[in-house]
Amino acid sequence: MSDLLHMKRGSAELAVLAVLEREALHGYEIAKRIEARSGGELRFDVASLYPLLYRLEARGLVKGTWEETPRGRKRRSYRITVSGRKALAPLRKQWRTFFDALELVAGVRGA
Amino acid sequence: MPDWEQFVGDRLGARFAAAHPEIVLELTGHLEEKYEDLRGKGLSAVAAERRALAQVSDWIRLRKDLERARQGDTMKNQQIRSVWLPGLVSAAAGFGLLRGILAFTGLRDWMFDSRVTELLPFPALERAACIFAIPWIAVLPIAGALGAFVSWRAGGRPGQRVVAALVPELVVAGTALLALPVDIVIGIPRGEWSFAHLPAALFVWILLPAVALTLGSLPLLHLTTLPAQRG
Repeated sequence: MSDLLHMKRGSAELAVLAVLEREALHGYEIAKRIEARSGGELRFDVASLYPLLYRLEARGLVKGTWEETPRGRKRRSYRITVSGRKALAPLRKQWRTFFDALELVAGVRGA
Repeated sequence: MPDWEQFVGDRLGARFAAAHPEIVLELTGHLEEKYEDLRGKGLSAVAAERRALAQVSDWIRLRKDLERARQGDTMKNQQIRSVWLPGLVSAAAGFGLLRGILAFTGLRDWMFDSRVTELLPFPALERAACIFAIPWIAVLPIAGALGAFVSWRAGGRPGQRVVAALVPELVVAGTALLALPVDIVIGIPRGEWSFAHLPAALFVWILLPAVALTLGSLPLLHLTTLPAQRG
């Protein structure tokens, strides 16, 4: 896997875990929350979100459970696991370090 | 509003949809919500539908990504279901058939009948073992085919089907490896063991059975791999 792909995947994982840190959300809400928090800069669609959620679930970082809405629609709600919380801190640190380095090199500032 | 579930199922393929109904349901929910959200923002039904459908540009790629993502959690289970459990079936079939042959054909008596065993140029025990190998090798194509078939049914890939078929041989080889040092230590001082017999033993007990098992699995190898069942 290329470093660029690693980076892209790592940033997507960070975004999903970060929005799940506060509360459990279902897929569509996760996408909306990320878009809203990033001011529309980060967008997840079906094709990018669900393979990522399933990978995170496979690694035990999130856990999905089925629930039924008041309107009778079934949907899967994801919550961050203890392992997910543990993974979040080093991920944040890595990205902070990355943006600090990028700022030094190219004058690009991180969040 | 389109039938989103039907739409997602069709796009992901009938086989995938049958194996992963929960994924179809989840993606359907997402598209429905997107559509309703857009309608709520004042978009026409056609425009909302078009925008919702734009969530996925390449359904084949999405299916592959979903399969890969799902494989992560089920990799071990998938290996157990498509290699080791079929392998146990293969081994049980091999040993069961052998036992049946020995019980019902009187071959057990032949094994120690000097008129038969003296035809072979080995000491008595090796002669008996060689004759014992004949029915064993004879049943292995059936055992191998059964193991490969069960592996295929469980979504095993061709390589996994071959390994599943070879499990009876792994059992025998493992047992032989464990027994060999003991056999050497006890047999050499008593003059009952010679390294000269090792190539013949490897040929009869390792190579031939492996070929027989692989031959049994061959007809199953060209079958299209079925989607793995989720554990």
